Amino acid sequence: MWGPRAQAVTETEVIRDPTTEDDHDTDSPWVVLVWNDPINLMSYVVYVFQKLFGYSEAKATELMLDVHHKGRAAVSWGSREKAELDVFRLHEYGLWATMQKDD
Amino acid sequence: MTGTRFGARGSLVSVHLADWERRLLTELVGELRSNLLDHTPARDGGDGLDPSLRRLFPPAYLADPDRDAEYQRLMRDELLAERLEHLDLLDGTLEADHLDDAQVIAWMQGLNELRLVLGTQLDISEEEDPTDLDPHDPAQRPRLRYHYLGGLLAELIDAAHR
Repeated sequence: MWGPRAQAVTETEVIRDPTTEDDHDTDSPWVVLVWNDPINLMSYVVYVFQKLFGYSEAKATELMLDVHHKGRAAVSWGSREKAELDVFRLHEYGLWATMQKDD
Repeated sequence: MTGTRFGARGSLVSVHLADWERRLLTELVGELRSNLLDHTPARDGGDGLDPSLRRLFPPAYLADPDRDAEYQRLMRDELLAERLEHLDLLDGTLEADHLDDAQVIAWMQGLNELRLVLGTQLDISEEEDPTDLDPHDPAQRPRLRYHYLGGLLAELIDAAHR
């Protein structure tokens, strides 16, 4: 088991119309997901969620357990720019984060 | 589990590593730094990336290769620079007897980067049990190092929380 790619490809077979999708989508809310992986320590993931997003220890632990048991958890929302920044900060800590439109 | 290699000292974290641990970390950090400098193609969207480094440069957009390529083009150099900075900070404070907040974070990020690369090379699974390993078997050395780094990181997180 190495990660979300195989699952995500089937799950996100979203039909996108290039004629209607352009820069105005920067206003739509985006969601940042963190995916389960066998390497990151549970305590490390909790620490990072608290540090980056200011979650309480209880909330950070709940999100970590969602990642662990359900395979992923949504950890932040916002504009495309904010989501990209959050993804970058999570990558900096070595977490497996991706972003997508919050449909 | 409370370890003894890190302790809370006011707002600082004290470090109590044996000489062999400092030597091992110096070696591992040096190897990863060389690997990053030699095998991270900048701005190529992921193609050609050394497979053991792929966890250090993950995709941001899973289902949108064009956006992801753009993201990688804009961010990969910066992420590489950050990674090298964590490793430099870790390496530069290996002899320190205490760490401030920024140094603690760089240690965590650096130790975790070492684990991500080793764990990818070893194809680690969640079921991995370090007590199954024979500490005297040279073939098990990378696995033992991986678990050593996990134990060290767990102790550091524990100390930083206190």
